[in-house]
Amino acid sequence: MAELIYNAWSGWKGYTDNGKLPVLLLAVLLFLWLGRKQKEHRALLVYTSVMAACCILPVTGAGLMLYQTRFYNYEWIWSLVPATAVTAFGLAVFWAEYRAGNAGQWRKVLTAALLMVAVLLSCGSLGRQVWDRESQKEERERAYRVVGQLSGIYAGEKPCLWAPREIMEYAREKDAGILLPYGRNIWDGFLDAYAYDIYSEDTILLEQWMANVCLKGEADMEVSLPGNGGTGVGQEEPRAVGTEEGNPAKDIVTLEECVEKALEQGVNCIMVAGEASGETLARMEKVLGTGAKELEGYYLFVVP
Amino acid sequence: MKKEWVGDLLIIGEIVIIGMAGAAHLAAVSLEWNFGRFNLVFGGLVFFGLAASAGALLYARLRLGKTFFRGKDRISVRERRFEGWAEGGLWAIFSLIVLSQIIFICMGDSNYRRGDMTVETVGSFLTTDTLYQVNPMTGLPYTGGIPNRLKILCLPSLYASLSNMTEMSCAVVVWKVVPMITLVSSYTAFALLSVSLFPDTGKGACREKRAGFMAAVSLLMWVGAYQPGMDGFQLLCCGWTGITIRNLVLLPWLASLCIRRKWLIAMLCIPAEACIVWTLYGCGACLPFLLCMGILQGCNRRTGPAAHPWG
Repeated sequence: MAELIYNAWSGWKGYTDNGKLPVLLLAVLLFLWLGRKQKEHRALLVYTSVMAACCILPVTGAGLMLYQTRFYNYEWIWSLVPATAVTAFGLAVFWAEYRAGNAGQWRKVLTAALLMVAVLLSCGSLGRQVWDRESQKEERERAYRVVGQLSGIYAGEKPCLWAPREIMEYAREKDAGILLPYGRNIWDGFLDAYAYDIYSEDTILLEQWMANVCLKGEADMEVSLPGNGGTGVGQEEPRAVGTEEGNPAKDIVTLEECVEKALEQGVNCIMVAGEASGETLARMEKVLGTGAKELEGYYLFVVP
Repeated sequence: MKKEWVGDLLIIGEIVIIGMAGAAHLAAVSLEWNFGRFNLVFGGLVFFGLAASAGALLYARLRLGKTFFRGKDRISVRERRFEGWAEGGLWAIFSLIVLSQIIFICMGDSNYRRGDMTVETVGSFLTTDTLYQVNPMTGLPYTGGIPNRLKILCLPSLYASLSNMTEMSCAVVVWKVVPMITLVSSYTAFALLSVSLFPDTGKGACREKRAGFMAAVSLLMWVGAYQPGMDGFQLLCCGWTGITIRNLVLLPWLASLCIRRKWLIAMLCIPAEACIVWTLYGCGACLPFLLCMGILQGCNRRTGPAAHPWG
């Protein structure tokens, strides 16, 4: 429970980090309750005020998080608060009453309108992006081009693709006929909630190896051995390379082992990043018995 | 027919379609139908639903004559004119903002897909001609299966059916067509709410307030497009998700119905939410909202309408 309360409190802080619309809602509620005599739609105002308070206070926030279940994050408890409707209601009432009180004074009214718009805009993120749209767009377009060409190469049959993350991310979005040994739920944990399936250690190893090639270009990868605080992936007999005191023991996973595991899982199409070293490509060609083709900056191996 | 009913009918129609998709989807999952059979049943239900609606409208037209469509609230020429420059200006601002939002959605590169796999799920349904037989993430058969509660969420089947009928790609349907429908439905729901919040009492400039409300809502959508969980972000970057439809179509409409005290119709939102949002063992947002508003409106009524003329 203490953890849930902490999550609720840090959730509120995170919720108001990038923008201040919840704060604007509170200001509007103050105006509607205290700034004028008439209280229209008291039921809606009472409901919104109580719910907003419940979302902000850590204990009640934790209760609401329990109610919505752990599947959802803190921000979703705000679904219970009609924030946009009540904020817009307050702004419309303020505007209409201000205009009625300053009839004929168009300069004053215009200034007030501009000020209101400025306050509203300052409650947003002021142009800061929460996630990088542009790089997502570029990545997607590149992946779509690659997948489009793959679909042409494998016309009439289903490729089972093992490729770098930025291709795997969009592969099934572009062509649902493509099979993958692992999907993007391996790096997007939220997606794990949609199925009871879990990946085997071998599959996780494949993902790590491919990420390692993209990062370092090397054919062999070090993984921490079980019992040393590592991920414990790799079933082969360990060949320790760093067993000095204080250093966790490491296991070397080779390209050949990974390719073998991939082929066991039905992979018939392997792509490696352009950053792969010449040695990596040569060993890959040797183990697969096929040459590499260049495709949009990647090396493609069509398994015969 | 009252003017508000046109908006109400649009949202009721959408809820009925969601209900039909939910029923067909539930039958398909329970009886292990393939997607083609689901599509046929769902298409049939929609066809009969449309035929029944057309028949009902025709009957009403024949029975009640022209007054059914015109009604007492027929918009007069005087009403069509704006009350003043402010109302016209606010509607112009609203229109421009909505237009910019439609363009933003049409551009299609703003979809936020973290934690969402709708396109892959729809693609899997269409490619394998089955419902939830393969893991959308990999295309391989499930090894551990999926939660039963998830199986009855019908939006992926509905989108797959839409994609199949229109022959548009699932990405276009999910990321462009559906968000635009959600956007229009959302503003319809907010417009109905504005009519409920600012009824025509004869005093005050209700139409200018309504225009101000709608302009503020549309601006708030842009301003709020900065992080997941905000209404603006949901509408502009995740318009296809069940949570967006619940938060931006069902809840504003529900608020409008609660203010108008149309409790029976309001209850439609509860099953609609159950068909589109994974509420797990919680009861979602519509049920607590309706209960709280019902109790508060009941208390409000006891204190007397004179004290709260719009309450």
